Amino acid sequence: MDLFANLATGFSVALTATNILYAFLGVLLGTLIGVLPGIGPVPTIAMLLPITYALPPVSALIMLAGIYYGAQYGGSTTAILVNLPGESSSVVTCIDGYQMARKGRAGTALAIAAIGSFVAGTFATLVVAAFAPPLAEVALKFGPAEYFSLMVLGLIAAVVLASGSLIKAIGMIVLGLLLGLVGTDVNSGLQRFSFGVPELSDGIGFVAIAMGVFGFAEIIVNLEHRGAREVFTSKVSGLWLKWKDLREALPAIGRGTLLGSSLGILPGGGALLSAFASYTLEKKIAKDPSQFGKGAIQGVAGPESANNAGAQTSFIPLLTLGIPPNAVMALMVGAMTIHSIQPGPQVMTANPQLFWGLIASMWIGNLMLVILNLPMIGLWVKLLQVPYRLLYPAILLFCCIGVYSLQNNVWDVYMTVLFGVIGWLFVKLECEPAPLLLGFILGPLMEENLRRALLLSRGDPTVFVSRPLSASLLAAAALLLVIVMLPNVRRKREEAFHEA
Amino acid sequence: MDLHPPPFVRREASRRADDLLDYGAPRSRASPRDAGVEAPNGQGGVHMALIRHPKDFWAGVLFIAFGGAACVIALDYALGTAARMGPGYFPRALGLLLCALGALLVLRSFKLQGAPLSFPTFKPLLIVLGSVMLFGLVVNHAGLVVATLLLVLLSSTASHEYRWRESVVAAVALAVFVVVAFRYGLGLQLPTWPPGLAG
Repeated sequence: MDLFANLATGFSVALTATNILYAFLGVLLGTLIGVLPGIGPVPTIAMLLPITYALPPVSALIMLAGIYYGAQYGGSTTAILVNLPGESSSVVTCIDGYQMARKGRAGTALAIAAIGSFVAGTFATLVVAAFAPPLAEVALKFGPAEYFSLMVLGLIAAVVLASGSLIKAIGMIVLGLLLGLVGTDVNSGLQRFSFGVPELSDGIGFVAIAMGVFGFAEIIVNLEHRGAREVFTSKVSGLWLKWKDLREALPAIGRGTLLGSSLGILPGGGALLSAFASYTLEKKIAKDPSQFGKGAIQGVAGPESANNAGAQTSFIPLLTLGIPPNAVMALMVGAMTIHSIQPGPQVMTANPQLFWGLIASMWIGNLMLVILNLPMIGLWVKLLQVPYRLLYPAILLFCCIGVYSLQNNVWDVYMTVLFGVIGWLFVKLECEPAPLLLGFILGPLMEENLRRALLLSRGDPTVFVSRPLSASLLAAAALLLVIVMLPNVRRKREEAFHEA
Repeated sequence: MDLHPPPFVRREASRRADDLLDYGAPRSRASPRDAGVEAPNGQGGVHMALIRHPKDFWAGVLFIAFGGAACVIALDYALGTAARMGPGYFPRALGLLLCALGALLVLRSFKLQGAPLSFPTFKPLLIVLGSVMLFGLVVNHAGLVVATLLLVLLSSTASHEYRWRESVVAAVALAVFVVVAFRYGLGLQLPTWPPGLAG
């Protein structure tokens, strides 16, 4: 019963006063930014990265992880009460959640979202604990060829599962890979693409890209639209569920949890995809699909469970393979490297306290979130009444200070402005920025492993297909691409992203 | 192909959601109405008729520009061989790939139908990024307090609901908060006051 021994280690770490405090801070902040539309976990975590320098690594990671899954809880509140996704993964919750609120069942919707999230969070914690060690074992057998192929698979999966045009998404990845190469080449010491600027010799700051492309660009685009927010704040009551509601919602919670847990593990997966997939599934198997869009409780229970499960299991590829499956996990890589922890299979053996502590903290964090979100719902409703015109200057300010304090240098502030322009262009051209960030993180890793693999094989490129593990990873990537290109699947994929 | 017009009747909920936050997918703005406007009917001029999917076209141009620049710059770096790759190998390969993808997008834009680019206003872009730029320019010289006041006061004007009294109050409150929380609370190394005022 290694699992329990390990979890015990984890809880002994996570239950220290400091770590409980940081888990609480994380989920509180996560709920806050989840509730507020227009700021998501990516800019928030990016903003807080520099501050985590000073913390012990476990506490830092516990807090940052809390922000991510906390945002999944908070996002649903806004979706249900305001009909706006407080967090992008709660887009689907808007559909039926808001309709429930209009019918006076806001309390039921909020309660079922919180319960679903908690069930999913608990299950996903167990999944992470059970699946991470065997996966890490496999990962230890990986050579450079396997790592390269795995990254190809991860990047392709990110593209396939993302919404929008396939070619554009691949282009964004390649662009990200290129941006990742800026700076000093580790092998030759040569400065690449740095244009003689000393600040670029360490590469472009990840935070500058993330904040420019996600934070600033989003604020600018929000300001271009004259959307007035209408807050649905009539009395939120009836947080206790009726037996009938529970009976209807429980199977959906179960399905959403399973779906989210498995989709989260996939590279490129995570909260958003899981929520979409779950809504589509619930609608498909419902006895009366016409209820969907009119306040079907399954349409809230399923996606809300799925997004939380997906958010948590997306830690698996990061912790076992060292490969971030989405933008938030890419930031977690940043957080780990700040504390000179190389993400990968060795984390579990070299840093068991950190690994199991982080996992145990997820469950504790989920418990706190239920308490934060149900009895304190009134507080979050108040927060929703803060108008955007007051919110965004504050967000801008915190971003500026966060970026500045990375290296106590205004250079990064200017870089963020530059990437703000680029990000804004991407929005206009409908190029999704998430794959770019993933490519940016993986760029140097990919080049390094490609070089090493070909060095070992004396330049023979068949090494990628002659080693069985590497070949099967590449085959999986190719298969994924072929599947998405099939006309039938393609149509389905669009449907899922369009109307879900 | 890739950009089918989405189902015409869409729910209020998700449409508003798209407009405000979710700009990833080509759904909300690629409505059949837009496609109709774009359809070449003999009046549209040569290039309007040629580029039928402006977003794809310009995305392609952007990719080609970035990829081409990467290739040209990487010409200065040693290429090496596959077994002993020089620093120029990977960038050149990526640059070529990006150019190819860009070319594909450009070609596709002659065939696919898509919504036109929309630039309702440039005001938020200029004001938001301008005020951040200003923050960067002044923070080291005039200190955190002045930089915060300038950033908040200037950036608030980008909203169409701008109210000056409110933004003055917000600016002062944020300046106090920032100094207390970041300067003293977290101990960030930032000059707080303009040099003349610092004791």
